[in-house]
Amino acid sequence: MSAETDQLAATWQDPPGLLGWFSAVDHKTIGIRFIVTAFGFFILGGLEAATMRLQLARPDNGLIGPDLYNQIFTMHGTTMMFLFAVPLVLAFGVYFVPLMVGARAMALPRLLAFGYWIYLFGGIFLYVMFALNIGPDQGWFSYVPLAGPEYGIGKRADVWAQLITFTEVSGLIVAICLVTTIFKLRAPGMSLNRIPLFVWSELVTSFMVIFAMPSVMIASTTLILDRLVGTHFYNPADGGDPILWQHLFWFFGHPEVYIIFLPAQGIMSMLLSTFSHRPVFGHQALMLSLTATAFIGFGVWVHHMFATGLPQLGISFFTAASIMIVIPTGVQIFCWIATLWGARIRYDTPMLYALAFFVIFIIGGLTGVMLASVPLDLQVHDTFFVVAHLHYVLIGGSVFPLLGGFHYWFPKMTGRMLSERLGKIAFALLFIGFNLTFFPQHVLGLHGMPRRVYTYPENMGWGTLNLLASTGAVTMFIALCIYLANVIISRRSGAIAGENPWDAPTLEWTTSSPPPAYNFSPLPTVTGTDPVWEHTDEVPIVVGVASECREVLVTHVMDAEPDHKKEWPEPSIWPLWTALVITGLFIGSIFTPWAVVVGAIPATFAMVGWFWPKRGQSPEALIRRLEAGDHPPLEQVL
Amino acid sequence: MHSSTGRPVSHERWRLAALWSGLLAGPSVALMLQEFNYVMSYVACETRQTWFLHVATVVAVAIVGAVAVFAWRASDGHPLEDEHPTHPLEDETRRQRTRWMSGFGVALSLLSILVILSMEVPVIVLRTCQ
Amino acid sequence: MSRPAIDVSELPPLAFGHRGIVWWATMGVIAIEGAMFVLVMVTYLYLKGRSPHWPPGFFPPDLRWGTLNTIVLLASTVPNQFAKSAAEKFDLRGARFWLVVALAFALAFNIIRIFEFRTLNVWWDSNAYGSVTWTLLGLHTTHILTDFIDSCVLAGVLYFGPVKASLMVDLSENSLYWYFVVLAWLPIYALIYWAPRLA
Repeated sequence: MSAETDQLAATWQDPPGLLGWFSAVDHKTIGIRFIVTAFGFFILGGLEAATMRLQLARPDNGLIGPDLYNQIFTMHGTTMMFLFAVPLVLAFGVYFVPLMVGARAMALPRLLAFGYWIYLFGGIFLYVMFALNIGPDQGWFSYVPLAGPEYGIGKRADVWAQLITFTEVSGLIVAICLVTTIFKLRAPGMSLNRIPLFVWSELVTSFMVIFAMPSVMIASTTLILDRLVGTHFYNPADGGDPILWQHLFWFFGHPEVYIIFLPAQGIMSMLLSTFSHRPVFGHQALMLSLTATAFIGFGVWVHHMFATGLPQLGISFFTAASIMIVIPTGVQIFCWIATLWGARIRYDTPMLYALAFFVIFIIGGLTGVMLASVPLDLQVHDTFFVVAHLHYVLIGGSVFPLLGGFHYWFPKMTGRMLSERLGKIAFALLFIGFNLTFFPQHVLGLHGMPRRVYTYPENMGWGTLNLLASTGAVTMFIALCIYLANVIISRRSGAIAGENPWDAPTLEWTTSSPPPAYNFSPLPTVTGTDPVWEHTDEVPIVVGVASECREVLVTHVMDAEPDHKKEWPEPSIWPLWTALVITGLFIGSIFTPWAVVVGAIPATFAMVGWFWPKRGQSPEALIRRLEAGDHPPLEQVL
Repeated sequence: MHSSTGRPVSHERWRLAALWSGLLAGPSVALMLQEFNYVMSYVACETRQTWFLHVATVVAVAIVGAVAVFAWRASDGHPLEDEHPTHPLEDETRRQRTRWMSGFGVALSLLSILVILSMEVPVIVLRTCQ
Repeated sequence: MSRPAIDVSELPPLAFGHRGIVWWATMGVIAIEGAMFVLVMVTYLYLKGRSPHWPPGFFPPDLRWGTLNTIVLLASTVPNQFAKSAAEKFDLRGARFWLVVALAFALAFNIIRIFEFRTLNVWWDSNAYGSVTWTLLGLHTTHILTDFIDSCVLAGVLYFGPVKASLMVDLSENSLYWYFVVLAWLPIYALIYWAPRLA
């Protein structure tokens, strides 16, 4: 066994050295890069938020002027939505999905590596432009005509639009990798109904990404076309329509928030199950809810456009769907409550984050139902009521479970436990600080305070609540500093975790912490949804997958019976080269359309270098073998 | 032990189609109906008629209902005919998964019908050119 | 170690179609690009619906080159299918021959596309109709161009090596993408060339 694992380690580990670091294709390596980068952007987005709260703490404040404020709220929204939330929810999938399905690797590893580099370069591009005072300033949703050629002077809106291209290409790539992995690389016995809920949430989310992100890409590309080469998509004087922008954006924008939300629901199921030590109640109902939410989520986007003057009958269909989408969400919440009912709960830090979800998300959901009613929406549209709602659902529904999930999975990724004491202090401060920041904003909105204003006059009477909110923001900041300190300290000196410190049920907890490069040895099979709790020594293992070369078992989609074995791609520097070249193409194309033509040439070379096989036989030799009847020929890889 | 590389024989195809339709067809029909309703709401205002919206709802419910029925019937426990003998563990896995997929399809179809009916409400309640 | 084991050592090293990884990656790309095509087509219809005249003050695009190209694109599926079948029978010689034949068609339809652009009878910056027509045609053009280039590269590998049997799977899935590019053209052709005539 030890000789085999040594050989597996030698086969699967990332290559050494600097070149090796840039050539890595291990999903765990790339997953950590995604996670670290996403949290880096979270810090930047948080600093932007803190700056805004400082500016709004008092009426007629002069800390930041209007132009910089516009840039900051745009950067905050853009960073949080595109550079933090979506990459993080997908990143947990990148790291943990192959482990949770019992696979040795993720599908399409070099494509995955490219997806990371494109994301990183896009984020760097955005912040470099911000530092150069060309940061976008027209909101994270970039409405026309403000962002259009007439009012959106300079390159700011183009920077935003191209950032979209970077992040959406990255997201789409990761989605393809996830779908392929989840459908084709599951351990034998893991039929569709036995897929862990977090994995199912990543599957459903990936499909949403695939069908929603093209919409924002079309939107941002047509915006650049309007601004750069004079097209008229959004110019009403020549047949265009600004409302078209809103349709294209929100057709993406609503599924976007579900993209951010559903994986967090998957994490919720996981945490509640582990920390009550019970299989989650209603596994099938929860899978159904995730699926239904994803589908119906594509049918509600016009509820972001209630104030645009569209005809009532037309928008009412979207109100209907917006109300119906509450059903699957409600089913989930009741299943989770049933999971906890009568259980002996361990109130460790990850569980506290999961419990906080119930409070915060439900409040956010209730204000969402209020906003789904057109008369009320027309009163509070573009006020802080909406700001409060969206932060309650996004932070309560997604960020809290993500922070809990990170705390939960940290031992698996690093081999060390986070400090429970620091963890609980950070949680408590964050919970209090969050509610202090955002609850008053409901009232501010009802009192008429608009969004996206850099200051407000004394006589509106909004000063006290704003000061309260800003105090809460400071509290949140302190909480997150403690969370970060916990991570940094525990990375070095936290308690050693062992294989399964939480006594959790899913497959990633059956291998070492951190997992070896080859994930599992021996490769597992499953007979139920909670392998660790159900497994006996009678559950088979898989033998016959090579260890001297990168070979992965591919299984059938529905029942995961073994189908064939595939040789996996080796580490490669080409994804990085391609990402660099494509970055140049993307950046150049906001200045001149010729950049696309010129940039396509090195891009083609890079992709040829990527695709061209490095090993094999001459075509004539292969033809001779095939004609001699040796097909499919067994590959000699080394 | 044999791995089942044999693909299902042809008379299994209807069952596969029924099972996958259950997962995909219901919500897709509901979404397509919504687009149809949205576009045709403009026509409804111009012509002051709504009969086509009602018809579309009925057709959508009928389609999704049929999908639900087929998904339900695809769950029966007929032993699957395959070319290779399979492990009893695999058979049981397949049976459970088939029952699950069938139930999933029925439930998703019923929820889709609910969504379709919810969109019929404004057609009944609101005036065409409000 | 006395645990029961599933022995997969006799399983084949590759698989065609939906059994294989490359098929799923290709279908993922097809889903994404298909969604993009649908969205631009919906944008076309949206802008058309908001315009009293379509095309507003311009002649519709000339039918000649677009219709010719439709025929060439459809015809290209024949060598494409032969290449696919040959690949699935591990007939490397036949597969690469038919791929080159398909490439000749691809060269033709890319060249004809230039003439299509030239006879659209409107510029992209004339008005929204021109913008969406050029964008729809341009989006499809990026597909036929990249399909041509990546098929050239594949042909290059198949003639110059090094090669492995798994390339037969890549070739088969390349054909799948080719079918997508051709079939996606049909509704786009209908919109660009016929919607202005039926308005």
